[in-house]
Amino acid sequence: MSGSGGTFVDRIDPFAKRSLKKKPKRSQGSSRYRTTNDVELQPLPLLKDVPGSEQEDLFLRKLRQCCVGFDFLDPVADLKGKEMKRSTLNELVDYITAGRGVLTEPVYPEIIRMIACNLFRTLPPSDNPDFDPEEDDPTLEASWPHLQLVYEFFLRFLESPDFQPAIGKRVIDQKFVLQLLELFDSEDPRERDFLKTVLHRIYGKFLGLRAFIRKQINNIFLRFVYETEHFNGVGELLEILGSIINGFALPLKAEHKQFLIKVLIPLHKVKCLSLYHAQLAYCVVQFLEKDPTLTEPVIKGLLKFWPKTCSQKEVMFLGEIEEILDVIEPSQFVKIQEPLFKQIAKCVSSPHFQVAERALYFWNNEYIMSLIEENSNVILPIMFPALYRISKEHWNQTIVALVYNVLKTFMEMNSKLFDELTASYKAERQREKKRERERDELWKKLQALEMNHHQQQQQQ
Amino acid sequence: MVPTTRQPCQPRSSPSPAAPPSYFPFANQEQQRRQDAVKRTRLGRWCSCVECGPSDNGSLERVADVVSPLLEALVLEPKYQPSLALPQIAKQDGGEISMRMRNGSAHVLRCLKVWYDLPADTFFNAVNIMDRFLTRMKAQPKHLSCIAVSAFHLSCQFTPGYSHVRDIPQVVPDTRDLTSISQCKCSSGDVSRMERIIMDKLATDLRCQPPITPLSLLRLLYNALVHLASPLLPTPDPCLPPLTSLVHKLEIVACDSAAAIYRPSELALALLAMELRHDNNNKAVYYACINHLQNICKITYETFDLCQKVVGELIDQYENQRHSPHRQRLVWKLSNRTLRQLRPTDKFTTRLPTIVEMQGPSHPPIIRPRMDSECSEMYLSSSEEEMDYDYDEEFPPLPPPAASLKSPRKSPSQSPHKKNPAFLPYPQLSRKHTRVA
Repeated sequence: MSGSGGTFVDRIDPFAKRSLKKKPKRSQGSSRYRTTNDVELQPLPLLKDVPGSEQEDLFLRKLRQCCVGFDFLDPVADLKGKEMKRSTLNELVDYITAGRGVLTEPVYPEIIRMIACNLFRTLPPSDNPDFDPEEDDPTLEASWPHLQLVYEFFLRFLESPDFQPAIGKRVIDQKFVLQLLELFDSEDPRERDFLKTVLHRIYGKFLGLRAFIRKQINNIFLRFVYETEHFNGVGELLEILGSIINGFALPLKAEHKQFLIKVLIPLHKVKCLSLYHAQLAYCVVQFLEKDPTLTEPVIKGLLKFWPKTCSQKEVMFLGEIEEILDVIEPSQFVKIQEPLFKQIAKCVSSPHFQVAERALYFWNNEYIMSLIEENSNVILPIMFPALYRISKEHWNQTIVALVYNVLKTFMEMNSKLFDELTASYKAERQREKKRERERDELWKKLQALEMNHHQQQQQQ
Repeated sequence: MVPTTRQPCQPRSSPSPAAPPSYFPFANQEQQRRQDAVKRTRLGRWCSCVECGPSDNGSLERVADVVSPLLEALVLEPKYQPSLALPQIAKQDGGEISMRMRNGSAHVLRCLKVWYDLPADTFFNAVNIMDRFLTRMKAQPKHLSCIAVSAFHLSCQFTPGYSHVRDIPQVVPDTRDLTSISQCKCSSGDVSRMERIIMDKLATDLRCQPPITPLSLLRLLYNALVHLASPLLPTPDPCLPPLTSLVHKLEIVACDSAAAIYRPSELALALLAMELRHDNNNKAVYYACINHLQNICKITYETFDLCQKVVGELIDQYENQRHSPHRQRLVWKLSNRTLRQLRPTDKFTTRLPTIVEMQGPSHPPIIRPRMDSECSEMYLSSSEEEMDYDYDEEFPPLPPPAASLKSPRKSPSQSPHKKNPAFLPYPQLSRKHTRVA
């Protein structure tokens, strides 16, 4: 993550709150350079006032008119023009929604051209390089009054009953989609929301673009995970993918399985996971519901990326694990129980009370309890030492109470094994203490010997 | 109850050590037998130990050490015998404690014993106190948990700890800690008050004498058995199961109200009998010893049979590691911060409908020799979706867009038809990731 601001000390400390000073937010326009001369827009008649035969032509003229951009960074510049464009766009939105037969073949390229003119722009670099998505307000797009209407128009266009993908595919091509995808990095969440719906519709209607879209999304994610760790639209893209994964045909294609293991799992690695964890977890669980044999690689992947220093992430991971266990098949559970519960035993022993709490709460889940009971002879010995130790040593009373609950549950589940483990654990502790005592005594003897030796030497 | 030890041979008040006149031909033998009988009866407790082989004086005296405390315990046994008259299942109006509730409390006490790392005596004493209290008083179900916890606390105070064994100081848990951890829904003040009531009602001063429980009888009977059996067994050490595992099983037995109607000696002996029936080699010896002890304890055959059945069932459940019939409804208290976000998808909502993946008709896949094997396999599968769509030919790889120039992989100079790693279905990943088939 690029962070050039802040003192040197702040940069060392990983827990420092990035934006301590709330800078006054000013909305940003995209980097478009306008000529200083105001462009004069010729007022055109309303579409409803014109006879049917002329409507297409007027429609095209209005579309072309809307290709003119305006500078919103300066709030007072060209107010008349801005208002005219805004009302034209509004009119176009209504026209396309209500009208029948308005989507003739010639209008498709013009529509796309108008949309491309307005939307496709280089996004400005972030105003605040230390932007903390959870704390700070996002920088909003200055030209939103127009952009919103363009997005609205685009959406109605795609969703129109008159829309024909066969014609549309000539103008909505890979280049267009690529530029659309880049816009997902916008800081304005309203824009991303529109983009999400737009891309979802495009994916739905254009079968020919599906593979390409999936591939490009992969590229974006992989770049995000392994290169930049910066992309604002991960959550929205994952939401779209969720609806795609939901619709996967069985048996799952190798491409999709590859995507899960090589892209979705590594997405858990990133520091800002909290921004999109809900969508990511949803995707992962959807995959597992489609193909339960993927459970083992998923769990192993999560264990590999298990957070070691960030406790908040650990709590998120534990939540995701519980969701996965909610849908797991017993045969799959048996495959992953050992490594998983070894990690859970570590979490339960964590001095961070939230991590321990979340891990212990697994035992309140009926289905997980039934799975544990089926395999108690494997799981109890793994969990027992950690639980027994914490019951004596943990500082937090809530945790101690939860540990009691878990131990009581184990006792009810399998008394015999529980008693055996208690006895052997105690015996082990006794042996340890004995060894420690012997070592202490040995040191004392050595010390006494040494002092003796010293005294003898001094006497001589 | 006045103790009477059954003696087949009448005690001789004045033994006659003088040798009889030599005209009696078997006088010496008779005298020897009489002397032995005197020794036995002088001890006053040993009855018809016919199988005892070597009858040297030493072992008989050691046996006395083992038997006398047993008999003392048997004398005191009735004083501590509860007789629970609780219904099996609670009535609808909820006014009475049922056997099931009592059993649940007993299991809670067992868990507390483990939690505080206390000796088994604490548990047995606590259950005994609770049972005797419930025998005397008709209590309401809402007070049961308080009764149980108070009994436990009393037991902790009056049961000698392990200090003489393991340098562990006697642990008396704080009542506040006890009430919160056991989730008994009463305050420490309630516990103190209940303790006073219990002490008052039971009218036994626990300081003088810990109650006679199945555990105490188990220990005594175990020792007695060892002493009885070891001279008779071929191997020097008796292959009895270790006492600790027997204690655990006895705890399980004590938790069940079906066992509460039997005397502690009956339960302990039944447990020993159940455990030893598996040892096929020495079955006869053990059977005889158990029989003998049964006589000492004055257990009738019918009672012993029934007791063994009950104990046997409970032990079976334990051995088969089956789930206990009691499941306490525990309170899982979490901090607010954790409660706010339990599962990641709790707050996930989407308005995007599912997009169904299209299955193309199966036709021979397009062979792409220039791609590496992994990618071609993946690409073949996705080409089915776009049927006659040959995406590589209709859309040659695009020049890299301006924004992503920072990626080192994409180089603008490459010809579109040359294999470009950036446009394979998945970019080349670093080798440390294993490939998924």
